[in-house]
Amino acid sequence: MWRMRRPGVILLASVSLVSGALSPAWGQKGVAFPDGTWKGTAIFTGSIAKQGVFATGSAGITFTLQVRGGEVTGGVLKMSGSARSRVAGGGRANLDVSGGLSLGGTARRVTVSGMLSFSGTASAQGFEVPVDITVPATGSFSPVTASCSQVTGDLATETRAVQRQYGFSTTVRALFVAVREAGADASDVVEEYAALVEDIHEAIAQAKGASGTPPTVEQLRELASRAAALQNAIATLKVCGDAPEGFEKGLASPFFSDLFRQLVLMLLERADQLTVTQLIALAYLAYEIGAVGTPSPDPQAAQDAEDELVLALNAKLDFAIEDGDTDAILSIYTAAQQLAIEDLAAKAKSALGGFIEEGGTDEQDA
Amino acid sequence: MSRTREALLLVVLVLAACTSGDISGGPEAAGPEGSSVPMIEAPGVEGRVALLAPPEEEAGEVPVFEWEAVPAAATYRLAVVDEGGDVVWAWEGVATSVALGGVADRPEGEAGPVLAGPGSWSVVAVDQEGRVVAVSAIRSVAP
Repeated sequence: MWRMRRPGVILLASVSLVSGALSPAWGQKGVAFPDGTWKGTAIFTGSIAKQGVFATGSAGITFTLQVRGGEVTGGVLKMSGSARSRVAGGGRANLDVSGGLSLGGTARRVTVSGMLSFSGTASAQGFEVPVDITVPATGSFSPVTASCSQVTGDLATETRAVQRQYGFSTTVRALFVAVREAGADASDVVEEYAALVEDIHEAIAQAKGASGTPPTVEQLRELASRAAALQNAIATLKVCGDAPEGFEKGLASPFFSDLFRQLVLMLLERADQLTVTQLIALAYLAYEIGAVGTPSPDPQAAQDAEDELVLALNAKLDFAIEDGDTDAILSIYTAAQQLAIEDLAAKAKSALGGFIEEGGTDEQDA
Repeated sequence: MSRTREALLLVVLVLAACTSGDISGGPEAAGPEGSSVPMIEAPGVEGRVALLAPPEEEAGEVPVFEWEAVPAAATYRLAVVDEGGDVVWAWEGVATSVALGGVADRPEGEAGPVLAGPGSWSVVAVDQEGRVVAVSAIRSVAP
């Protein structure tokens, strides 16, 4: 038996065909496997040719894929078939191909990695040698069409591109159809919702308690990030009707914005203990979570909170002017421009004085 | 050609026919912005944040805002303001793209801010110490 432990230059060249850095060029179009468990099948078939060399093969392919939150959380692709090659002069190889490859990546671009085994015989110049090799194989594929029940595409899209890159003409195809066997598991979404609500209430209770200590801006940021992640997860589940009971219409945003506003106001009561950077971070966070700003479901409460926020920023600006802290003044100035707080912006601009050129335009944008 | 080399070539052909691998290339970057557009004023700051997306027109009600990374930046501050000067949404984070409201692919009817009419958006990059290191243009956007 010929085992290719030191395959040589030509085989190394082949490895460059089957492994290496993956390109971001594929899977950019937004078609994705919806969350759930998918089972797919494909027939890999076709041939390649180039200047007196020819190879052809066919293989059956099955795969299972678990997708959650747009990420592939598990899956395996199994391939089994045969392939033949020949070169001008009479050399031939007949090999069986098999392998089980792991799936990863994202719902838009599924990555494939593992080992493929080739076994059979190769004959050249009258001699026949047995072949039994295992080579690393990597690649990826992307869906072309996707619904909540079926996804289609071609597993060989990248393969063809690689083959053409190396000068081969190719007819290789591996059209696949995948069907959703099970919807996404939403139980952890319900658990996270309950945990988040509890944590927010706990933060409010702590601030109102004997210690009177509100969460830090960073802790509030963390709570807000969890709320955004939860909303993302529910939105994803909704697409294919997998949202858990009670969340069919999505996350009740007003509920969180009211609770978050309470925390923002508690932090503003201690604004003198915040740095300029922390206060500005709180301002952007307040708009992000709907505690202030036009989309807030309670406009009056949002306006009152926004007024408090502007007062706190004004106070910080006064301190920065007193201290001659131009970095802080500049930071407040840019934030005030972005958040359309005109009086604050004018005051900061005036403080920065001669640093600012009139006009506010720039010839070299970007 | 030696027997070994020929046999290897035959095996290689089979591998080439049956497997896939690397492709070079990537998504095209958006072109540079126009000149003489309003900027966020930041005297003494020379860094610029190049805004990439969305387009100024037909951006949709829940556009995805995207800009080029700034090497010295630790976080980015984004603000979206409507025509009347009211803040539609603001955000601070490390990413260089974010959907309005922070929820990617938000389904129709899902709660959250929307771009109901013409407005504008801008990005300010700040470093680890909170210093402003780059500012963007104030770019128009309409659904």
